[in-house]
Amino acid sequence: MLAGRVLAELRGIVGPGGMLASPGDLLAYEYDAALERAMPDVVVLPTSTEQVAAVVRLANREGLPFVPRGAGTNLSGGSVPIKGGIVIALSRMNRILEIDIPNERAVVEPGVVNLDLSMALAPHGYYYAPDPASQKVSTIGGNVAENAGGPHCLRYGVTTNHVLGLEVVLPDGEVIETGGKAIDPPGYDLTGLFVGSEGTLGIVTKVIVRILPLPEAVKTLLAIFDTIEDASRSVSAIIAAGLVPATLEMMDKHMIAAVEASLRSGFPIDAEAVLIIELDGLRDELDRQANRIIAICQEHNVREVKAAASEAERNLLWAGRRGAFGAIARVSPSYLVLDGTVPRTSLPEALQRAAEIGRRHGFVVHNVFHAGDGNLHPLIPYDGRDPEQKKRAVQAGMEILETCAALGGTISGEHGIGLEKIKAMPLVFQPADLITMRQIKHTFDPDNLCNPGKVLPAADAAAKTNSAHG
Amino acid sequence: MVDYPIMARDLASIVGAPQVTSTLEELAAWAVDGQVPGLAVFPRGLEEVERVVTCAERQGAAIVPRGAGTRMAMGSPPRRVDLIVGTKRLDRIVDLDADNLTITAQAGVTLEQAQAVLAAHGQTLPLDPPFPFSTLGGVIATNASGPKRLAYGAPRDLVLGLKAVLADGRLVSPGGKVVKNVAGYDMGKLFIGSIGTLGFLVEVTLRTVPTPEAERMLVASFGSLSQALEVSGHLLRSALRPAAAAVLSDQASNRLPDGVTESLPKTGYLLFLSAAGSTEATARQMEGFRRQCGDAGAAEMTEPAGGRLTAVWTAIGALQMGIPIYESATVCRVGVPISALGRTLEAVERLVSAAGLRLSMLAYTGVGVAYCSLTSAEPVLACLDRFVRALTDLSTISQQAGGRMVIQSAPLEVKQRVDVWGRPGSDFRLMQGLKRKLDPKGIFNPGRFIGAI
Repeated sequence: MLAGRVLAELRGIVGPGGMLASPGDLLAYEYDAALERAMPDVVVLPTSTEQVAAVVRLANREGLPFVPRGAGTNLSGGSVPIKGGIVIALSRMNRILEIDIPNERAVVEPGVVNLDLSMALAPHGYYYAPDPASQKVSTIGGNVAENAGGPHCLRYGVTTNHVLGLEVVLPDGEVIETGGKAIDPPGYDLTGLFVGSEGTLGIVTKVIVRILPLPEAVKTLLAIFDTIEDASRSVSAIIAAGLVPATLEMMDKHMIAAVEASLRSGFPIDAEAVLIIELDGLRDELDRQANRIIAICQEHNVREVKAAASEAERNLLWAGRRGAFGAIARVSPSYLVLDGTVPRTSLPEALQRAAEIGRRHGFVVHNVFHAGDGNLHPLIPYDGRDPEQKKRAVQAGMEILETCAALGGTISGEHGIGLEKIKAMPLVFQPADLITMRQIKHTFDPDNLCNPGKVLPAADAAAKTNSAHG
Repeated sequence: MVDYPIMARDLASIVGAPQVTSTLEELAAWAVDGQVPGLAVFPRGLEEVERVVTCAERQGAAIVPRGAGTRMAMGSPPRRVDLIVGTKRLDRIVDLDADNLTITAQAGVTLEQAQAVLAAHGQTLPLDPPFPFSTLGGVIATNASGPKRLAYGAPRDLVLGLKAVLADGRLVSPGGKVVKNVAGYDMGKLFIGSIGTLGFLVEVTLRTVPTPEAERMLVASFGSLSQALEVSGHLLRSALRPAAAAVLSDQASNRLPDGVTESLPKTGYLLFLSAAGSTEATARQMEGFRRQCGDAGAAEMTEPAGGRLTAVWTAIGALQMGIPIYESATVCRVGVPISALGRTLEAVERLVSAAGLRLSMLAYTGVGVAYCSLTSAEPVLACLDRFVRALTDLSTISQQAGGRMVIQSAPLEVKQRVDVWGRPGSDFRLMQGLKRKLDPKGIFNPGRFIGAI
């Protein structure tokens, strides 16, 4: 419990409507979309950079940890206040400050919902490219913290490729600006460092993003396969042929069943796997591109390739894809989702090994993922009320990450390390890398108050894991 | 004070005596802003680099990493230049994974070497620094880009992973070879564009792209800068968005080599528009380019032959550093929000002319970057004050437009009077903090980066 005077002072900063301290209210902030839970001592909902800075300065004075939070869709426990303290929820800082078409930029507050930005841009013929599946709820600030991806990142790059400048409240309360509307500001690329730092280096209060003209034409294909191997080999072959569609998403039969049971998007429930392939560009070129892709799928025994006949059909397919994680609720009370990435040519092997690992632990691994990027999302449904099951799920998850690392990939393609994958960090980093990351953290946050306990294994833990690995 | 003979002996024991240079005549060619290095060394492989760095660190010797040397004119005058560590023997392509569209190569591999290997697989690195013989390490250390930036981004967007040796000899390996990777901090970003002030780049992994099926170029001449920029801006915001767009002032196009100019309009501001992609799309783009340029009153239009395009872009890119490179032109890079480019450059034209200096300009209109080359009829020293005033004003104008001016190359006398990087911003304290943590003795390129870091 925080002292009454601290609460009073916080209330003074953010106003009476901007603070939550009752146990019932705090419950809503003890979790995100991953497995861990922890109660904050208090939640503040600031409406300005000045308020964020004042809260952070107060936290410093009192030695209280603080954790930034967007929409709470984090898939790795990054927004869970594991050491208690103050949750700084940025959902009220949700203004689009500027849409600057001539400069192809938008300036937004961190609480702006990803899809709201693209919807605001659409009348101008523009959009914001990174499109995480959570885009209806997740915020740009959260996307920046996680370096979020999404289906269209195959062609257009992830969040870091679209963020040009930030305003950040540093862990000591100082407000700085990095980058700007112009490209290549001189100096170290701190914007690039902040993106993906999972809210551990400061709190982003303003974001300058690149926006892109909407493509003239879009064509969406659904390729239906009778084996998952053929589907994943088609993915590798499409990439190797030098075709870069806007998206190349895969869904396996388990996921199709879950999606069709809840959303009825029109995926064939008797298929082993489907690919959602979207092409965009000038209308003159899409037919021939589509034909080349269809030919490659046919070489890999595709059962059928359907083109979405209307915008409604296309939207339905995407609703199914984006709603996949939610649809799992019909199958199982809880799930663990990993997001390791492998080189695209290793997809068939990675999928097979993930399925085996699941089987060994008594789970059916469901798959829905960004196949074109080699970014897996093996999803392990389990019953969280059974601690033993949860333990097995976590163990299976760890083994899948080991597999991704062993195949030359990495442990997280877009969901972040958070709490969940800290133990997996030594799979992809040497002690020297982890030491360097800790030095970076220390430079920004010497008192370790800003989202503590995330991303980096503790120094001694790293040493232990390393010696255990020989 | 570094004891060069002792260090030369230690280095020779690491790399072999022939790979250590200590003769003045040779070292003089590698002077940085007039400072002749004490020694030069050419390690092969990661382990030799680690040992060379450790050796230098022990002696407190200042290391200046060097690739092909095309961008050595960049940066503030160094505080010290003890040891050039060259990458010419880090020349191995480690892994070409064509099916995954990635290439891993040591820092000393040149861009043209990498392109040649990739071409056999129908792929390319969409990087176009001023010179094709630039090394990958140098391109990444300087975050160098050219016309292709518009379509493909800069090195920061293409690097998937790298290996760098820090001052204490420790190897860091941020990133990897997959295209999506958010594990840990994105440390690689710190090294990209840090001009070798945080560590020594040994190896890099880059995303490659399929070579476009078709590539075409339209060159149109206009009577005024604003006309050229208006057409380019209009096309950028249309479905026909070009893959690259550049405007050259009259004076800049006059500096292109004859072999290139023969396929271009003869006078005026030249607008270069590139279409790259499928045959169908490029055909429609070219048609649209012609119509737009014609409607906007282009005096003349040409389409250089397909086989000439690389030569044209290379010649244009060379203007980024002033051609030829040994010319003592002061070249500055103005980076502003895209729509501010026109009025910024018009102001630049006015102030340079008022200063009695000569100006040639190359602008990448789609990304808001222009390279302005300033020269004088008389020796620089005779008109130093005018240079200084023009550059200071140029910097102010760029900042007022929401951007920055950075001097790319300039005679030492100019660099001593004008900070090449401009004044650091509110994030500089963190940059200093990172530098102190990762390179506490300041052995990597001391003095050359922003704020004399």
